[in-house]
Amino acid sequence: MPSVLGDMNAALIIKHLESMDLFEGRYTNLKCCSFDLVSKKRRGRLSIVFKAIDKIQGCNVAIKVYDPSPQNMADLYRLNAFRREPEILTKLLNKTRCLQLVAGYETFTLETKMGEYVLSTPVFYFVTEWIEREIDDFFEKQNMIEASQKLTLFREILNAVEAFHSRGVVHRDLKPDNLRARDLPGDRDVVAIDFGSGVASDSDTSLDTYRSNVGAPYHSAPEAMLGLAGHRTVAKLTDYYALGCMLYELFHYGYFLSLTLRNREYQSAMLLIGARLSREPDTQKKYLIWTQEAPRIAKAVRLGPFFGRDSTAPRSLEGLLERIVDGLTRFDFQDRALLIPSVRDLVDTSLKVLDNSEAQARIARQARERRARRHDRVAELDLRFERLGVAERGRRNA
Amino acid sequence: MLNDAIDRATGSQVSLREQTLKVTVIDDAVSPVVLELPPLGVLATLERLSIAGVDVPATVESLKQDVKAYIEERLERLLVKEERFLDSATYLTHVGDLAFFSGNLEEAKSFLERAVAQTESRVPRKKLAEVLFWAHEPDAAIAVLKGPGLAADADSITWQALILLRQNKIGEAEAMLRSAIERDNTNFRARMLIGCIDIFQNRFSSAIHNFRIAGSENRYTPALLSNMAIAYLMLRDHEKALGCLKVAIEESPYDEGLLVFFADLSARLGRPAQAVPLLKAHIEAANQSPTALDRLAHAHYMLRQYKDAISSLKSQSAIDLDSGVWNNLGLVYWNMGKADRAKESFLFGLKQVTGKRGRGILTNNFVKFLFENSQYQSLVNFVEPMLPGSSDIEFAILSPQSMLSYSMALVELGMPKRGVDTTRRLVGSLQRGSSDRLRALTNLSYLLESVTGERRDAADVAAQIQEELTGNASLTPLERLQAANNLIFSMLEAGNLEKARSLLPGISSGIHKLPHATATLGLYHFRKGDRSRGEELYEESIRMLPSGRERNRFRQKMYLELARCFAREGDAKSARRYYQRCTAIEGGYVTTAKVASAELSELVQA
Repeated sequence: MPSVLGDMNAALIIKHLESMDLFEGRYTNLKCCSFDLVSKKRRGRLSIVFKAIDKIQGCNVAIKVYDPSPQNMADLYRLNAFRREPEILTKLLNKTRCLQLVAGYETFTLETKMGEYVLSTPVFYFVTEWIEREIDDFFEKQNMIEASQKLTLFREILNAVEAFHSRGVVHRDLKPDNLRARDLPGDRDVVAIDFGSGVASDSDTSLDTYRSNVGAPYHSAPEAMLGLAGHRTVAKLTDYYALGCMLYELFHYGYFLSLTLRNREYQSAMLLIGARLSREPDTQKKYLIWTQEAPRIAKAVRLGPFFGRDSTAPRSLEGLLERIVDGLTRFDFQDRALLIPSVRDLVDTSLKVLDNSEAQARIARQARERRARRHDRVAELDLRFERLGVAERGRRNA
Repeated sequence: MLNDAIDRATGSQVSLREQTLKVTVIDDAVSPVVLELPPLGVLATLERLSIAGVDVPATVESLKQDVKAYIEERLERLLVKEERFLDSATYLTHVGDLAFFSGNLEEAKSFLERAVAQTESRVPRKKLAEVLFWAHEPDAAIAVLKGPGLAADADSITWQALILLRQNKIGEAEAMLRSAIERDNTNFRARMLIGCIDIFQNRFSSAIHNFRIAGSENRYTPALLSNMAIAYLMLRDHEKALGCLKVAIEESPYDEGLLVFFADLSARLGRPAQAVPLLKAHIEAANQSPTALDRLAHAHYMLRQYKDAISSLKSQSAIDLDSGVWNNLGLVYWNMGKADRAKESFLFGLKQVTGKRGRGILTNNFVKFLFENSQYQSLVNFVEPMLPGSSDIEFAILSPQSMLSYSMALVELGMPKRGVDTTRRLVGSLQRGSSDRLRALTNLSYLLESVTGERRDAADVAAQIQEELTGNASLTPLERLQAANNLIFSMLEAGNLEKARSLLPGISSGIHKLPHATATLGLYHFRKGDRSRGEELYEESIRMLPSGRERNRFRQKMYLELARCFAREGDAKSARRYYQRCTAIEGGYVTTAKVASAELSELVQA
């Protein structure tokens, strides 16, 4: 968490920026939207986001400023990541379903008067398009939204992820907060924002020794939590894991994180493999250790079945959705075999099932019959065991 | 100077670190439950089997700092949106759950109660019950789980049973689980839990029946397989228990409790080699766990791979302060024939030891070591400070076996009266009919007969042995055989050949299998006058013995008996030759050598 001093600096910068225009007067009416000056609550630890008007394009833009607090300026990894973000966004220029960069990495000098002295602080920022509509309703009100609407949204999220993956970009912090809906005439696009943790698949790791997790822990894949986030082969698979978590959350009252925190086998596996990886500082060697050790350790981890009675998914979709979430959220990234096109096919099939009431009825009937058969079989086993017990007791008494 | 034919050893004891097996019964329920299994050595009675809970708040406490910080940050962010999602049960459940994980039970309760009011779904109810349980309101938790639409829900009933179980209301929990099974006879949680209660109530077959249904309807989880292994073990179906554990380890290879359980069971079944690769893999992965190293050394020790055992024990001693490691190191060196190093290890261990149990094992092993290595004076010097007074003997640390070794050492040092007195006091302190008392009585009978010459008392003691042996159901077949063997030996030494012959069927199952029983039959043949048969049986028994020193002692006795046979046959030359061999043998008993010398001088004079 940022320090009190950090918050004071941020407040100072916000006050200063909100009272000025940026970039030769191109961006005006700056309004901070990631920091509450009254409650000191903030979103994001290292940057401050402003909403502003771009006088040239005549639309709203988002200005992301690196918080120049001393501890942030000393964090080379984060500073590099901030510099990297506009570079990543450059790769996504003119790509549909991707966030568009308006102006790349810029610096201006913030001058603050301290008595007789004037303190000069360099402030780094870049500008992107502003997308207003959040999609957290679908998650926070999932029980009140139709399954078909949620599946359609998930399909759009898949398209968005596929779009930046196709340009060699990996997000590594996918979550509902980092997704926005862009309204188009007669259509809607979901777009991922905040590429602060993102990386280009073909880039070098900025700092190999950086070992903490990347992204929000509640959608972070195990390998990302254990310091493998820097490995470029793995990065894409962590996005898949987050997709699985989001699909789960679209049909459940609880977070995916809640599931993993309560699962002893998952926690033990994290400890074990964490102990193995912590001895090795090099990411490539960590990767090799994972590929050798994880298949054995991960065997014990079973988070599913995900779509039982506690999900809000229609029963006819349970099997299909189970396949997707299970395929995307396996503990060992080597087991996450589902690719986005296959996931999309399964989502499309689910949407067709929802459209087809006959198919739904058939699936429900089959499930009922299976259940009845299982019940009868077990009842027979119970009866046989009881008879056996009575016979044994009889023999003993005799 | 107890004769070789009397079985001295109960075996040196390896000191193993205690390891409790914890099997999570159900891990996604309101109040997860763990079945705790005591170490295999004390499992037989199930006295220490207990059901304990997984402390969810403690799990929260152990969360990584960044996860904790994230949960709090996320919670704050969600709370800002309260007005937008005021009417959403999902939102309220999310906030409640995060508040629970950040340790704020009151806030969690408030949001989850609102969520419960909004929906009929089980999830917010289950989470609210969880919060209420950890807020020490179990009755309120049960009331929530009985809420609308849940009265007939098998899972909900199972969760209620879990709460009851955590309160040790086993009977009520069981009744509840039976009603859950009536409603849904394939419910995994209910079957699993009732199986555990079955184990708890000694209904092992029923436990296996329930576990099998749970497994076939879902999957055989490591926890399920471990529970099945416990049930099979209690039914003495060791093979199936081992099979279940193997599959469980295959599924969950780094569960140390499971591995240690497997290692102990495979060692008990005489197949320690099975555990070696698994233990090695675990040690490699779990950064040199002392308990796993301990079991690995034990397995190597049992396989007589002493160098590997030493290597494991050395690694263990570097990270483990337990004195047991020095005891085990001493035992391995002893078996390798490195007496000096063994002695050093035992002595170092005795300086380090803190617990009573560890001290007992080390002390008794050291006494046995000194006795076996004929260091009688050192043995007496070591044991005497531990005897609190002349009237009573401290048996808490010194085992009856060590006391017998002490009394025999006294005899060997030329103090037979003190040896007999000590043995008498030992006999008096032991429970009637116990194998230790029978062994002590046999020693006493032998000492009275052959050392102090109190033949009448010896006959009384022999009668007592026979009386305690007859109809004694508390002895295992091996203990019974050992006692009968010792009694026959005493009878033969007393010259009561007829009585010994009538008792011989009692040791028939050990002849050609156990060295002591085979040697006793050899002694019978010597005394009967069948020299060649006696020698043949003695040679066979010597071949069965593991250590060189014991072989020498058996051979010493054989030479003495051969000399006596030749003397009886009038072949003085051969008799003299065997008497001389008997006295010259290295590592034999001093008193046997003295008897041989005395008989040799009598022969020369005659």
